[in-house]
Amino acid sequence: MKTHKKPSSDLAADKDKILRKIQPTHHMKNPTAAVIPASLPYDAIVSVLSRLPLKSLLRFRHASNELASIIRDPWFVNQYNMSKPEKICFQTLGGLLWVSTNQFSLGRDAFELVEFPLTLRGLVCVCPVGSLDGLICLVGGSLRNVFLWMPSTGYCTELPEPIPLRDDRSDGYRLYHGFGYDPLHEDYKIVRIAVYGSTKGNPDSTVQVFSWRKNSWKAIEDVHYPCHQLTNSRNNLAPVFCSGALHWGLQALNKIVAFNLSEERFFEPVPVPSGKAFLDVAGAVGGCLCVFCTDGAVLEVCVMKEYRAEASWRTLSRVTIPVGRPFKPLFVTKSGKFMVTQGKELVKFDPDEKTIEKLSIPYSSAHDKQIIHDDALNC
Amino acid sequence: MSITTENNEKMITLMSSDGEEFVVEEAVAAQSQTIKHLIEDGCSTEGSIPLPNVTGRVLSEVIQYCKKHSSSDDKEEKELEAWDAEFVKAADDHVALTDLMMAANFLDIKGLLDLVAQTLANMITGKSPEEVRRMWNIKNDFTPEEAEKVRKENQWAFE
Repeated sequence: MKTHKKPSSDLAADKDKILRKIQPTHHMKNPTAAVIPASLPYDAIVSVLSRLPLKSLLRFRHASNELASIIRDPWFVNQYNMSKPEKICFQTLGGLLWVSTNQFSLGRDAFELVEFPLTLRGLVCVCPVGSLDGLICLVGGSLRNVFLWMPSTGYCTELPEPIPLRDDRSDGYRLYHGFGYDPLHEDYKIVRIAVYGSTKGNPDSTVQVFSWRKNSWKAIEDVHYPCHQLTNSRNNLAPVFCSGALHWGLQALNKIVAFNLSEERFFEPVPVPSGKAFLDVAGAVGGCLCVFCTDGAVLEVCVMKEYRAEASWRTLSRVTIPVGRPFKPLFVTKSGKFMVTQGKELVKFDPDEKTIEKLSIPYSSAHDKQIIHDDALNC
Repeated sequence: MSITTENNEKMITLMSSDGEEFVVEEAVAAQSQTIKHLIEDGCSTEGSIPLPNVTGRVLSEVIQYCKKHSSSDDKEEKELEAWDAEFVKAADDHVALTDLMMAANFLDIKGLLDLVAQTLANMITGKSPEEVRRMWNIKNDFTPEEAEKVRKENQWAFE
């Protein structure tokens, strides 16, 4: 769980403490002393830790305060996370079919089928609704069962059942989920929005939020937002988590709607870049919200340098889409690569290297959920 | 001490913490950024370069590594990889690798640092917190309350 960022002097003091403790204690002249291994210098410890898988790092936080403070150091966490490539995950019946964004060269072998944990077997329609800090939030079993799963450790837990939806409506409902982190209360949260009835008129809706700390769901009374607008979002993609809020792109309305996880309320609109054709939210690069825009054959990723400031939109990079089948933008990776689907192909554009790589997706349909996941460490 | 060999290679002398002297080509020793800077600053002309943090046993291993890596070019990458693998295998145990790591850190030899760090990482990847405490000589300084808090907030670390 994230802790408040320590003042840098504290961190420096921590490092000093560690460094003092591990001044070279050269013991090799005395072979018997070698039974007790020497502690490593701070830099060396960091160098070893940065090569470990997420599972080991999370475990080693249990070793000591000292080691935990290194593994929580924001600088270390950022370095570590930048070195971990994202995986594009496609929902399949029994698990996720995922492909690492830096392994396109492997061709067919790039895809890996990761089965759902045992607790989820036998449930119908399990689909991923979001991923953060190595955790994946899944919804399944007639949408009443919600799970948190960490594939890198095998951890999986079922969360309490959400508040039942009203069933006095014969015309059904649509559900929208989002998974994110509330930095103010240091809490993971899941948002569950039900839009009842048809999309015409002004349909009714309910919003509930799950708090990981409280281990309970709470209904949000005053929503102050016409949730039926979410029917304009692309339902196969998860909302983008950034700056403590979940973001849905509503192309038809030319806007972005955000749900702030600390205040537990919507605010809108987050301004879209002016003078461009807005397509969808794309991801977060360097902690800033990114969107896809287009200009005919050119696909552009714009980044909002200052959150919610319209004037701060900048073009991050542009790629020219090869003519042919229509494309659907999926995500922008943290290193700025564009992930797009074109028919049955997953296409990666690298705007810096000016390369295009393609993979044909073994199994997928337009309704299947696609999420982006990585083994990221939290602070 | 500055000596020149028949091949006109400049030689320098490195002195370990336990007084062992090693005469090596400057190009070999200069793979250590620390030694390179000492040479540039003119420290090598006044006799041997003292390395108070490195024992003779470890220094001889480090020199072995530097020799191999200064005589190889890119074409031999595969062979070099195999050599590296043998090299760390010979160091074998965690204590010897830790010493090597500390020397590589002090002498600032990036290739060796990367190699040893990866080897140490491979050794502890599957270890439990208790085993890591033992290997790195770390004390468990959690109070019971702290331990409980870490366990709660980090529950996904364990299956």
